[in-house]
Amino acid sequence: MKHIGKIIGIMLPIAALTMIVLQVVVSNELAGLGKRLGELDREVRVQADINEALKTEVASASSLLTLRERAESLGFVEPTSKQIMNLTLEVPVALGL
Amino acid sequence: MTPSWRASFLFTALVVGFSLLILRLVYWQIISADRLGKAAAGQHFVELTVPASRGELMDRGGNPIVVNQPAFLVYGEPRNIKNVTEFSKVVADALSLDKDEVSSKLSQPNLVWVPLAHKVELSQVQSLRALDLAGLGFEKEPKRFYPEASMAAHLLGFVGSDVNGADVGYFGLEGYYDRQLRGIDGSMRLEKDAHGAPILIGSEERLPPEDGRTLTLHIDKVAQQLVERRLKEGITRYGAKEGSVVVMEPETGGIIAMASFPNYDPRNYSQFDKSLYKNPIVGSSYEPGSTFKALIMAAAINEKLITPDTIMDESGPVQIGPYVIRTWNNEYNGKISMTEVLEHSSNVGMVFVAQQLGREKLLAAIRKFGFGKLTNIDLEDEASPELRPDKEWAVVDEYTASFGQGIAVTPIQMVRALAALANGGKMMEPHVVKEIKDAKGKVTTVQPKVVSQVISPETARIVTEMMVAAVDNGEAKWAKPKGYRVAGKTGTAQIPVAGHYDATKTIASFVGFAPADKPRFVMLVTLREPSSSPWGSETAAPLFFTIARDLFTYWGIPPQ
Repeated sequence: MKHIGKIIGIMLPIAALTMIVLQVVVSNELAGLGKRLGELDREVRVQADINEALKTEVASASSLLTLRERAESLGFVEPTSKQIMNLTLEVPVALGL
Repeated sequence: MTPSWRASFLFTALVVGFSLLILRLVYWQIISADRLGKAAAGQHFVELTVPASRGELMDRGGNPIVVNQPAFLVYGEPRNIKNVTEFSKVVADALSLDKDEVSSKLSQPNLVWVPLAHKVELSQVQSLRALDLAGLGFEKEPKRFYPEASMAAHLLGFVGSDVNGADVGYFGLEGYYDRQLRGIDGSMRLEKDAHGAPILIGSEERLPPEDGRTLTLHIDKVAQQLVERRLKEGITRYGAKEGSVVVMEPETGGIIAMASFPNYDPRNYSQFDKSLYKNPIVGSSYEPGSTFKALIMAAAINEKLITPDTIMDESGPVQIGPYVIRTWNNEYNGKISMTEVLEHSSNVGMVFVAQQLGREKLLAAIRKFGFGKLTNIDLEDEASPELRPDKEWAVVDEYTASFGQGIAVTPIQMVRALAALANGGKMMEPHVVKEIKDAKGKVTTVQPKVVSQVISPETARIVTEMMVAAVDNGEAKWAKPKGYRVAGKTGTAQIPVAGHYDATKTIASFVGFAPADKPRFVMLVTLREPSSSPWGSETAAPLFFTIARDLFTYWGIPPQ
């Protein structure tokens, strides 16, 4: 009985010390993770902004205004009504028998 | 000092001390509880509003017309600024602001938070962030981006601010669908440590934002662009003060294109006169002139009172009491059919039609075609001129209304009424929005709505043929694209000024649909006070046919 009491007397301080060390380690770890979480939240917001900005750029680059400007700079011109030919459903003469 | 005196003194001091302590606790726990509670929460929690993204607007092909771009409110926190003068100089230079103004804002006493600039674009914010200035903060405040610049400005409306500085849509679609577009802001509340970083095992409340709904429109971006370009050219060519074009799909009532000039730029709406904000196609009225004849003719044919071959005698002007009604060119063709009445755009002929209809049926027809009431188009600025009560119509009013004078309509009312001739007699409710997609991706389709069957399909077919003849043999036949069957009618209405009609100022218009056998579109062109010619046949009609030709090419519609 006395032997058991002695073991408990030794084990309890060791256990208490271990728990204290563990708490310090875990708290330290959690504090670090909290900071990391904050950074990740900020990063999510920044990426969302960049994503939105890229979407705006795509919309701008594919707009009719941009396409028209680019086409004109490449030398494209609008056809006149006489330059537009409509194909009919009739079989072309050259293919007739 | 006796022991009893010392005991009394100690007792009194303890009572006073505890009383003061209790009073202080009362002050903290009750009187200052709210303030201290908030201060404590401010130290323990980080609270953020997560703004909802405003819904975007897409054309019928899913191409963006209005999207959001990231932008920020830039603010200063004077308590954290070390040198206000230096800070003001750096910020003012980066944001193109007045340095003294920034400095004076930041120097005001007792301010902890000073807004410096709204809706600052991401690139500028990124360069400011790189400076890492103490006391400079940013808050998300997205703004609208218009890839096609001012295209369809009247139709879209714009986003401004309410008295609290929150975004609000005004006019057009932004105004009409504001509640659906704005969404619901979310929030985030996290427990934080002494350094401001969130505590992982602390309390956390996240309410995600519900983004605004995305609207897919009936608008075709390419058609809209070419309509705007041609309209601008037309206004310049014919020297008109204003002009408008609306293109509608007759089977659904969907608006394919809608443009009017002068307009404004929704990006800088505050720099334009407020009178330009209203969309004249849905909010302004005009006298339709001869374009109205097709509708009255349709009403009389529908009542089986006349046929296209009914003959009337156009031998001279018609005298109605003190009034004389003449033809537009004061020329008279003798005995002519109803088809020829439309071809010659005969006012005298229309008096005959109105006489056949009679007062009751004429006024009923005008109402059945939707005049005098809203079309319920999904645009905020719609207004409808009222029709006079039946008992206030004089005989001459009935006759002049038969050829579109003395009656006010809006362009959207007119194009909707004409669409009924193009689609077999159905009065459609016009719509700009085709589909609404919510934040979860659920799509709601706005179904086409038939308001009434105003004329029979047979009447619609007969009047279509008469209108085709009016184009092929009328005053504007020279402008028609060859090989296409277009049903249409010119109109030239005098403008009422101070109780009388101005002799020189007109509103020239042309309304029609094509291809006549299976109409893809119905279109109305109006030009206000054209100076090159007052006539619709020489101004609005060629502009109509120019746009129609472009649409045929764009949609690949071959000649018949």
